Amino acid sequence: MAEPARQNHLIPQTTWQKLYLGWFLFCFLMVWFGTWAVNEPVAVLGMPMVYVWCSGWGLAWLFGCLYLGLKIETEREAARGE
Amino acid sequence: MESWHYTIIIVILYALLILWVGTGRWTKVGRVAMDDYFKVAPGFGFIVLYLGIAGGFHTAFAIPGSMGFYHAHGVAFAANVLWTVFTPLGVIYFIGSRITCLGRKFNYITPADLLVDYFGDGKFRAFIAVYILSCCIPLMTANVTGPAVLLSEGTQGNIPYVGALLIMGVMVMIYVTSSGIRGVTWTTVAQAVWMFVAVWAAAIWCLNLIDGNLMTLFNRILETEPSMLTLPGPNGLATPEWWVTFPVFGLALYWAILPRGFMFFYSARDVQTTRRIGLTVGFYLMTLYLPAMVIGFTAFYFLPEADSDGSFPLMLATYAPAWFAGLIVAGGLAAGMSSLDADTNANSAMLTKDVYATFVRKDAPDRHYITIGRLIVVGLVAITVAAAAYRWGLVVLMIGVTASMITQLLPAVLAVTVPMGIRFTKAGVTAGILAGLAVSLLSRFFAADLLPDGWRFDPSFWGLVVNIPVTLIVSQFTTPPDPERVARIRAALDEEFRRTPAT
Repeated sequence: MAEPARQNHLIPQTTWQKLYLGWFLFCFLMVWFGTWAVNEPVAVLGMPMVYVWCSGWGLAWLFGCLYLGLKIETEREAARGE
Repeated sequence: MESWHYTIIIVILYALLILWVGTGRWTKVGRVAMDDYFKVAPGFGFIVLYLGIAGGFHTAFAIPGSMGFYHAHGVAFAANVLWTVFTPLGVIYFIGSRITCLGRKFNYITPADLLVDYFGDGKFRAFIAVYILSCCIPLMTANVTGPAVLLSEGTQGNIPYVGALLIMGVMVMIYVTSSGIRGVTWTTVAQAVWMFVAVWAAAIWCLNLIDGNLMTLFNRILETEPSMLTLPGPNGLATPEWWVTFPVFGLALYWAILPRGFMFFYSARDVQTTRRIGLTVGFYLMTLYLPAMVIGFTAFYFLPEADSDGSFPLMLATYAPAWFAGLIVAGGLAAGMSSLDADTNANSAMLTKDVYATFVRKDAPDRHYITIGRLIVVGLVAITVAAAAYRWGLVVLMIGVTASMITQLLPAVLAVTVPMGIRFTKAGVTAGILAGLAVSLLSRFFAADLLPDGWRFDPSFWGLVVNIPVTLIVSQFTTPPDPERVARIRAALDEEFRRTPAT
């Protein structure tokens, strides 16, 4: 039987945690599946489109999760009364 | 002086720097204890551990492997974004921080410590230790092979391949036996900086070889081999089934739970340090590989017929000024040694604590165990160098087997670190590991016979497909772990991860 959400560490608790998971999955899917939609020998800024697509989404993935992760840290510190 | 003399001088300067960093007073600690030799009891802060993990995660695959991959498979390499970002933001941030939490709270030293604290000690510890150790020599061997080729080619063969192996092995042996994890981490900091500079410098040099213009490089590849610019690449590697499983199941999920990953997570000052590293180390991992495209494509343009793995070293030897080749060769040594030393330390810890201290001689003083650990370091490095000297073609295959084996530990690690209200037992995870391993090996060696086209997913993925249900089913019918152990570990995780803001 499933335990309450608080006890199941797989389930995000707060809005920032849900946004982190959502952004993580969105960017992951853009690289995982989206790459096949741009699979053409076309140059973007002098580089192959597949490379630019993957690197671009990789950077968006990193910056987005960094922002949301820092929000989660702030939230945790507040919960600890720091 | 001949040109290769300059290369050797730079490599010697690099070696002296690494030995100084790896044995300096900052690597020494007055306390003689296993938990301050194999890991850092007080914990490293953010910057040191950040660069330690960043460098430690980069194997010889960074230099020269990634350039060889571009030379052979073109933009299929872009799949690596999936692990260089997924691993930090997913595995390190979510699981690594939990390993840090439990490791610091209960003073774990080896990966087996974490698993047996939850599931119970005894033969299970030996099983986990032997299972993990059996993956390690191939990985360590692969880490020295590429850089040794680079050093030998970079000095026009004046340092023979075996000599290059010995240089790396002796250096690692000196600073790991001298300073343990502190030597490993401080040298990895220096190596991480060096290899980052080397890769970007190499990319700029390559671009200048073309004419300084990315568009020119693109057009030349388009004219000569357009399949380099799209999936699945010129050799048909990046099929859809490869793309959706290899980077995630064959790399991302296992890379952070290698033994060296555990040692780094245990050595973090606190949970927040590991979480912050998870949020940021992807920038280093990803930006190290971005220039590899320029290098790999340039090597392909100038040397299309060259062996892919040897193409970059050959291009350096043919076109680069000697001092510059030295800088890059040292970067390659940094990439290989930064993983070899971390693996050596982790494996030495497992053999000492999980095997020797558990089954051979219990209750000896820590000084004795550290001496044994140092002897094991010497033995492991000697075996690695001897194995690499054969240059057998099985290394790549064996790394794949390592990935499959380590990935099968994931359900057990998740069971301990991520409470989710699901029953996991020692018998369940053991059955799951063995079933998953058997299936992943079958699919690795007999995929062409067993699986139709379109179903040849990465063997680690197939292993998990079987491992997870077997673990869950067997766990339903076998003895659960001691409730007190489970409650203790769970309370530590709840305390750290489930406190919510007051509303």
